[in-house]
Amino acid sequence: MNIAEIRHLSFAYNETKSVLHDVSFSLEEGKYYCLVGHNGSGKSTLAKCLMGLQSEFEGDIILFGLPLDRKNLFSIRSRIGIVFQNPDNQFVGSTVADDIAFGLENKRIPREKMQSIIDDFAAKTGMAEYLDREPSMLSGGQKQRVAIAGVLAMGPDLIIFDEATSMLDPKGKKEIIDLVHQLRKENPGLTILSITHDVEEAARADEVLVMNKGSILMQGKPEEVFSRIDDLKAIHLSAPFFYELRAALIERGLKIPEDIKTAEQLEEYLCR
Amino acid sequence: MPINLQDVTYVYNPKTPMEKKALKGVNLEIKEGSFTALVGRTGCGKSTLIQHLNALLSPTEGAVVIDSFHNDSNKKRRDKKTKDLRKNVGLVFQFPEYQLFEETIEKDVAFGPKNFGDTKEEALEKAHRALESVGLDESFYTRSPFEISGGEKRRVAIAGILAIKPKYLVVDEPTAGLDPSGAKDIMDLFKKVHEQGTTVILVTHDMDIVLSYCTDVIVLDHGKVALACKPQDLFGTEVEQYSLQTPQLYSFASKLESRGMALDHDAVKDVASLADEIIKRRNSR
Repeated sequence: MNIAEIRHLSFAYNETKSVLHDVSFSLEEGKYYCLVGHNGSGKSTLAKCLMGLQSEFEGDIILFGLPLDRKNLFSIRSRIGIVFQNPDNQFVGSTVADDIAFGLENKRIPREKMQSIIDDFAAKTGMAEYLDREPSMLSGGQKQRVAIAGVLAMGPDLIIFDEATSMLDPKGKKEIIDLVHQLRKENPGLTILSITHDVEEAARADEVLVMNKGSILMQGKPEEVFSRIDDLKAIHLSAPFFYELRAALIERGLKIPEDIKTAEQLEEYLCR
Repeated sequence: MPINLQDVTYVYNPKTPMEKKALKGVNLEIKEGSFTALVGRTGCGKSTLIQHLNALLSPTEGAVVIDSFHNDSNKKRRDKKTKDLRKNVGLVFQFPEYQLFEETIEKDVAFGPKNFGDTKEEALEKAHRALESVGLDESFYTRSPFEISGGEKRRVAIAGILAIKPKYLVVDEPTAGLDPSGAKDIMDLFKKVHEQGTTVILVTHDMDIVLSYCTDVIVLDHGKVALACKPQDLFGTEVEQYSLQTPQLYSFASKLESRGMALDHDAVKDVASLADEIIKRRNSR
């Protein structure tokens, strides 16, 4: 089932600055998508449209079977969770527990139920020991985990990560990406759309969408997309290490069999 | 002259319950003309250290010696010379685009030189040169710095520091949040600045950048210098203990080596040079 259908979406901030042109794609329930593209390609604007933060678009955005319009905005939003780029810009609570509780309070969940929900999602994100801590005293990776816990507590069907790892150090990045994979195992119906510059993250997704100049240039499995290295280069994007090295070796006249699909296999082949 | 840190200790909020020792007796030399990377996990003291280099912070104990400037706990001795120091040591903070404030891009970039005593004309001239060096042409001069893309904003902010022509350029994670091609553009810019004779000190988490661009690397761990060496020598050591990731390129090369393919370490700097080395070794078999 498709949880998102985007048809002929166009958007312009003003008459001279058109950002999205005729964008069409769909997202299937339970899959993990990575949206890549260089700065200014329209990724963030697309995300804003999906979140209902930009309403002046042309075309159709259908989420969970409902067209995104004023009437459906709130019921659609209640099913989408967003984790933003800057971990410091998304805290409202004075402790980790308060912060996770914020969304629940807005939903008027009774206090008795709230505590167990908070405990549950703090545990799932590895933050159970930090419930009494002040969010500002946590590391970047921990902050993003709190943000994810707060989002999960709302029981979303779709989570959008808007460059959620780009301000983290390598360890924090890995923590968050591993957590995403773990969440997917626990919630098979959860759909994830991650807007990212991290091609190594994208290599582990189910599907990769490539944006350029406001259009979707490619959509497909990571191995399909990243094998088109010349097309990616043409729009100043790089591929994960394995694909880059494979292309460089082929360019230098080396023949590499089709069935070699990982760096480990390539290493094996080269040393044979 | 190199920059010297002599037994530098820095304590945040001393004598309060929030007291935190961020630097613990750091001894360090940053060579003039080098492209030095400062690496280590979040919270290891990198940002605290670089703020000592242009006297935004002064050591609680010890001293930082930059040319004739002594940055130590004795503030009186220092005051008059601080301005000169700041002209020599340009510091680009993390997410410098947050600091843009002027109506037009050229005015924003000219702010530094003007502040250091240039006339309006001189300052604008320097601003234009600096904008040129970051790849922004005349069409940007009179635009607002708030209506351009994130990557462009960052380049404007960097131009603002380059315009004062610092002898030492200190940059804190200049590629954070940029896409790979934006990151490469920025790093190539610093490479050019370095080749023109500026000493560049770079804080980064990206080990691929350290390997491709830097001449020296310093690893900080819990407020102390854990390692100071050449980038190529860093990745042979157990860097994971400092929360650093060995670049994929390097670990791939190491694995080939452990399986008997002898590669020339110093030649491997990026994917292209790794591919060249592999082809060379295979052909010579």
